[in-house]
Amino acid sequence: MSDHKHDHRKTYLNVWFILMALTVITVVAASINFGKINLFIAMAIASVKASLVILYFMHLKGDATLNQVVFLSAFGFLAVFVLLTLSDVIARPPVAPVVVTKIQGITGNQGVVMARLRNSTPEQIQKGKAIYMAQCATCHGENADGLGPAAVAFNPKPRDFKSGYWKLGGEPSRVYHTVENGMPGTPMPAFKGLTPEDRWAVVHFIRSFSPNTPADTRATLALIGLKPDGTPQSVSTEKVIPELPVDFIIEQIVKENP
Amino acid sequence: MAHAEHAHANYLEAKKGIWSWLVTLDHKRIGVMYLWTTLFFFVVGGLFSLGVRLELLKPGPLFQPDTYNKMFTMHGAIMVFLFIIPIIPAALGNFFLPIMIGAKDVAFPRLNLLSYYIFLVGSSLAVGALIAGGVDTGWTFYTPYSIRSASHVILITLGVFINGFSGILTGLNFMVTLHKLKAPGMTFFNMPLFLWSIYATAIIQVLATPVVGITTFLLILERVLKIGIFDPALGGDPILFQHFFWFYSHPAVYIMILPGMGIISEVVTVFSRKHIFGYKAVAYSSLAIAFISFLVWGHHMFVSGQSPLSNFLFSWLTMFVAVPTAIKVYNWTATLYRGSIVLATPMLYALSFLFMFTIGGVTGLFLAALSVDVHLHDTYFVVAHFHYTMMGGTVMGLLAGIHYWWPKMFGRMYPELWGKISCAFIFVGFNVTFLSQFILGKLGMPRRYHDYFPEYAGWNMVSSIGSLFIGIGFLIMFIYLFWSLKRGAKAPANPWDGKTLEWQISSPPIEHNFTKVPAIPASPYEYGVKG
Amino acid sequence: MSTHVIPHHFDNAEQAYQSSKLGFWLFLVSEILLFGGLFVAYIVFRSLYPDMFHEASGELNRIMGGFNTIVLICSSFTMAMGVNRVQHNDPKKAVMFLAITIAFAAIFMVIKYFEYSHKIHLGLLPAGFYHYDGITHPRAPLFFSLYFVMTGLHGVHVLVGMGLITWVLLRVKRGDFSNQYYTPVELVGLYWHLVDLIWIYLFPLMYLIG
Repeated sequence: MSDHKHDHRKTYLNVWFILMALTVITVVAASINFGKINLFIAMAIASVKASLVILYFMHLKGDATLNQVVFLSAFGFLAVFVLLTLSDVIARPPVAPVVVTKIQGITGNQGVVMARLRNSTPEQIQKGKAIYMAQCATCHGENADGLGPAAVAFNPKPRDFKSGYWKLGGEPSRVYHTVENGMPGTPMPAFKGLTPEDRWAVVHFIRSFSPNTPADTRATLALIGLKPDGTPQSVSTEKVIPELPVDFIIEQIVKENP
Repeated sequence: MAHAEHAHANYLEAKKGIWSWLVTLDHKRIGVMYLWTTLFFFVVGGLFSLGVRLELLKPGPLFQPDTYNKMFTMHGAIMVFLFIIPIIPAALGNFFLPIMIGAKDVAFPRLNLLSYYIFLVGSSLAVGALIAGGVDTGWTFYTPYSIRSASHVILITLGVFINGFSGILTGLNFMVTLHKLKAPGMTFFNMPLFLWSIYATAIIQVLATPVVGITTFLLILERVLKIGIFDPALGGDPILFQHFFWFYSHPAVYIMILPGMGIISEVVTVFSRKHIFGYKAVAYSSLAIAFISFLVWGHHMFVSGQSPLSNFLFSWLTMFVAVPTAIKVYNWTATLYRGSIVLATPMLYALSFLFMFTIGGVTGLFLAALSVDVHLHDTYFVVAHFHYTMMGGTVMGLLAGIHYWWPKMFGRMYPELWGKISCAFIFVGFNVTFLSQFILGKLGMPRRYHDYFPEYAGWNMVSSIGSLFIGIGFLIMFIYLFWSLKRGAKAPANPWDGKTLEWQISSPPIEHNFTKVPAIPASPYEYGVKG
Repeated sequence: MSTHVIPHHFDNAEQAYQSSKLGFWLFLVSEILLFGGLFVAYIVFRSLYPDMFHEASGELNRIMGGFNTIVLICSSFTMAMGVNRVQHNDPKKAVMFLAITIAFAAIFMVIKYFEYSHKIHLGLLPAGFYHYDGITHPRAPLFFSLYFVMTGLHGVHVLVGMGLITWVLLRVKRGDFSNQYYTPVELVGLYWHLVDLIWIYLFPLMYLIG
């Protein structure tokens, strides 16, 4: 029981008096405008007051060294917290406006997307039907028999998908390539305006009519940029999106959370 | 004479009945209660991780995306806050710290019991959040999503807030015990290295935990009172939340790993039958890690929009952590050198630690390098890295410790052969699971997504199969540990030829640990072979 | 006289006393870091929006804040005296000083109550509920978020302090302490001084920048 022999009452009274005086001084000082120094004056006075409380009321003066180290370390670590946080807050570059680019459908890892879409699913066929009716039926006919209203005027005639005959080949990737690029020398146009997803949907829809649907080959896969085994070339060589397609992501989020 | 008999009964049998456990002030019993509680949470968190790996077994959704988000959040939050932070200090530390310094108990036994109940209350709230429907923010609770999320963020953050006090009080208790209650002759420099690591851990617990307290407190106020400090919609700064969060949570990473390192120092020495190489270097490096851990938190925020100045400072400062860590690994390796190595289960875990923690540490340097991190941030590379340090490091240390001290704690030997079998399962399973995640991360697979492109399928399958092996390993372990409690061979006082004080008393220890003031050896590792 | 029994795991009274004190200093360290987080938030926002702080602080009542500062300093003084009297086997005066300390704390809380109700009345509330149109700066609500959180957490500490001082006062009355054993009184004193310490910084940072 270290220090109860000393009577500290006089010290307490003095410290109390100084603390009261400093409180008055800090209020008075704050009402005078010293410009930016005001903050430093206020903090300096507060720190003197705090030191008095710590040293005399709390008896850190004369306490065990260990206790002194322990208590003061709190302020050291607090300083680390403040300074390193400030190194961020005060040095942040001004926020640049976000560039929003409209990107059609999914881009970026195109190869990955292609690899996934080239396998037919009932959903794709369903979707392809709608697109077919809007984009293709005028020439190829609602029944995919090449007898659409506009077909009369064409030579050569539009393909009858039920015939099982494919002029350039019936592999999925080959048909995809044809939808995308058209058939030069014929009235078949290039549907570059459709997204890859939509094109694939159409491909799977029209192939569902044909009795002759050969599988992809090394050559046809190469047409759409896939490796012979149908996987994408390699992720690291894929195109990186330079800007965030914000509206695409927003669309996706809205779709997932109706 | 009833009293004398009573005083010499072992701590498990000295008092009977469940009530005697619930109100016990005995640090050993409190340690055992912590052990079972935290192991329970480990099992819960582990089941969630198996759920996560099941979803990722094949491309294409299995669970709802929302369910998946909740699974990985609950896995992370439970493992971090309810298992890996408390388990070694609160369970093994509580049990062995007083014994290792020749004391009868910790400095404040009542506070110790209070800490346990605070932990129980906080954990119950977290479990309450789980039962109420889970949380989907990720264990980091980043704002502003955590302010808006409809899941039970308040419950779980309140749990973290309350658990924080348990950690602070435990750390405080240990620091005072180590300073004031060492037996005559015991000094800081002849106490076991495990205690140095617990001491360094306690420093972090006392200094950093209050900050997670205020962080979670503010987050709760954000949701209740809309104070807006972290909410950009109200003029606040969401990145400030990340500063607050990581000012605690980075040092907390060292709360997790330091005690594990301490156990490794014990186990490597005892099973090499050799004095540790460079006692003081290992001891001081614990303190250095604790200190530096406060200077590096911003390396979690390289792509958060933090200033380039901070990025530079934090990247640079982070490299310094590698120095004391490497000193430890070097010293352990040097201790093994020409030692008479005994390949018992604890040692197998210790060697696993050396292997996997080194991988975890070195990949940490990749991530500390600013430019590399920009590529790897938020990919499976990060996931693999911290599992190599947390599981490859801390959990391996923990398992080494549990097997090493099991005979002392419960007076029974675990079956050695089954110990080795389960260790093999865990070691192989762990590396299969997480090495493949390094590759996935390098390929760019992002973390926390419930689905992925087909090109990631192969390695994900490998990883999920690996996790099954880990699960089997732990299943075997829990079975034989429970079995051994009743049927295991009676443990002798010193099965491993340990030189530290806990091996000089009976197994299990008597209620007041020592019958007379123990004689303190000049060094805790007197094997007559120099380090 | 004291009937205090030293807990069995300590060798002597001095060891028990020093342990408790070290433990309590460590606890105070954690308190400082708890409040420290709020001060960091304050510093960050003040460095970002100095003008806003200047303007918003003008809405606080300097006289009430100043008076409360004086009240807390006085209470810190009476607390120190109370501890001193316990250490010198003078329980009567000790009880008196501790009672005065509680009274000061109560005055502090009453004034705080009037300040709060005035702010709430005007609509000077935390950001999400703020509806006052006397300040032009758009970020002004943040200042009042900080004001309520910082002074609120401090106020909670004052209330806890009142409870603790009442507890030791009752124990002093019962004759639990003497110049041989007074640890709880001294520790509660340390806690109370810390509450004062935090207010010493809160006062200029909140009230005196207008």
